[in-house]
Amino acid sequence: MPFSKHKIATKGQEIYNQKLQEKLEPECQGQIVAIEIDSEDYFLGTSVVKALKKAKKKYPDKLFYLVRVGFPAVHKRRW
Amino acid sequence: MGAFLDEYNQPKIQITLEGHRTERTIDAIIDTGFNGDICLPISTAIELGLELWACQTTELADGSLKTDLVFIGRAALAGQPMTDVEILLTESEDALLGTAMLLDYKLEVDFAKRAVKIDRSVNLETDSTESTES
Repeated sequence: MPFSKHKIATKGQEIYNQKLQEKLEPECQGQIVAIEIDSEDYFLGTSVVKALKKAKKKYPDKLFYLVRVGFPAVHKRRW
Repeated sequence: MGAFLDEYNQPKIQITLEGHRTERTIDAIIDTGFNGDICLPISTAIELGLELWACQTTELADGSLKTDLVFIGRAALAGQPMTDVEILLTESEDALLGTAMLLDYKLEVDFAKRAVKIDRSVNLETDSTESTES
């Protein structure tokens, strides 16, 4: 199946909104969650690298969708 | 630590990057408006051979949201040890160094003297502990 970043982002955000938001936001504000969209498994970390390393250890061949818990975006940038 | 003001008065610092294919040392703009690690021109990312790990939502200066690809590589500020870092892509020709790379440092920009200084910040908690023990 061809890679689509928009498919991963749409499915990942849907999983976060429907299954993780209520569970994570009270305790994990500002942490990074890496979501594996097929299994709907997720991994928390205090940084992108930390969350992704945990995720990649269990799913070495998968791509993940990242969310900063409680915020609309993981990062801000000017360009 | 290899930091300076360029001809556009932008603070820059020398960083070394490592991907699967090669290693390169470049000058990156110190961008306090970017809270990630590193943002690279697409051509540099390809040359380095970075590995794609994820997608994420990024907020741009106009408030709009975009989906970014997230690559993992290794990077070091001049003279510092290499660490794993997240790397985003930019269509600009400039590389950006974000504030996530500077959380252990003090950054001083003296525009009048055209000087940029980056030092490891003193860890007050550690100092306090050492002082108590001595």
